[in-house]
Amino acid sequence: MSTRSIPYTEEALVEGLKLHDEQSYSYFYDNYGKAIFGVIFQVVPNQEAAEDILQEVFVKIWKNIGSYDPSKGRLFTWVLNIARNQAIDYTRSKEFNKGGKTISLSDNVNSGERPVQSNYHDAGLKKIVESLPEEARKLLELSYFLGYTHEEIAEMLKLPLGTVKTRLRTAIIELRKRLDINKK
Amino acid sequence: MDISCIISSGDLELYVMGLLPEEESRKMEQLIVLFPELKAEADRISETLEALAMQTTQAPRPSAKQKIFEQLSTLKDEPYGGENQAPVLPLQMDETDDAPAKVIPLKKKKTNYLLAAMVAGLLLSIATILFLVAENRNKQNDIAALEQRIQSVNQNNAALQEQQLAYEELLRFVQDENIRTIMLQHVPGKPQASAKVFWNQQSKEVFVLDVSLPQAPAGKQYQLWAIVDGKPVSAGLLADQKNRTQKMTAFEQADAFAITLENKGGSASPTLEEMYVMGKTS
Repeated sequence: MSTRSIPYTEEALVEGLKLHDEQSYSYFYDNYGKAIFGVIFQVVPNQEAAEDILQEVFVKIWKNIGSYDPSKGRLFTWVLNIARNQAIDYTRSKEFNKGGKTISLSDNVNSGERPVQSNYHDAGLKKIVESLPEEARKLLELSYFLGYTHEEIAEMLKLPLGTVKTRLRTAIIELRKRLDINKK
Repeated sequence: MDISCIISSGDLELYVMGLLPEEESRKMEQLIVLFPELKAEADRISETLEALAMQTTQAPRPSAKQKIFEQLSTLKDEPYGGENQAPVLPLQMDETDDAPAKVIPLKKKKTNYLLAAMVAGLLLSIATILFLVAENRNKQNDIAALEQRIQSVNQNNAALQEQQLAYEELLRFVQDENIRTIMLQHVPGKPQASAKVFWNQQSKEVFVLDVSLPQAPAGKQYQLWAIVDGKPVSAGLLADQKNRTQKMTAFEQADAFAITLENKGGSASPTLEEMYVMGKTS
């Protein structure tokens, strides 16, 4: 399957996806598929399961792109959230838990150990996330990769709600520094 | 609105991650549309998380793409799920076709944020006004209903006080040894009726009370008569209030008392056919 080599603007890409234009989907897959897969893999560290989830994510994009509103957020972020939710849903499903991969998250958190699900040994996100200060890393994992609400996290970590939120913000600022994102 | 406060709260991060509760998320959505500063910060957070995702070394196997696109092509036949029925482009299966890639026409949709904000504000104001008007109308109705109730309670209260006075009066009469009670009974051929006359033997005062007579027709009025030496003498006109004891003309002596229905203002002599009740004094 070939891909249009000229890069799409985000606006054009969204239009193409909304029109169910296959080339647009192909372009999107080639440019973002791997990153989407990486995030899924972060939550579900199993090649086959993660690929299945990636497929489900593309079906969801196809079906729900009509309701995507660019004024409310960036396309890739919208897709990443779909992917994370799909992956997190999978970890909470019976299918996943049958494999004995269930973890009692609070145990891991309280003992300061990393949740079993976040398999950084294989994932490329490892280096950066691990370089974060302990608490920032924990907050990012719990919220972003495990999908816990800030209320749940506040309870787990015995922190006030507001503190959880501001520290999560700090974690992302730290992350930004490490990723060295150039100002556009 | 203090934007920096929202930015430093950490809520924007949660919003971008899709972790805000639905209602808060909707609020944030509106704020982002209204304030470019928030939009810029949300984009910065998005960029960071997107950049993080891009760091991955994991990749799906090459076979994954084909599987996904096979499934997507089966979805092509399904009716488009979105609200806006977008035309479905024909599938271009022939990839060797050297024709230039189809250019998808782009509608330059420039969202006018200021206009959107103004419209949103206007709609909100209108909704608020309509709500307040409806509220106000409800309140006014409530007040009217309350006023009506107060009025009816007051009326009730007045009626009770009246009754209380009447009973007190009655009690005084009953306890007064000088008072003679004359029961006026209904005259045969007339509807059931009765009345009482209290006659103070010392002061000779005459009172009428406990009047139970048919409602006087318009233009008519009941009149009390004392029969003195076989002749009826007017003892006065009965007022409309039936409960109250009414003081009538005093009589030194009388053989009987009677009530007739007369023209309004009373008559000099009774209309005997219109006599309703009568009672002898001895």
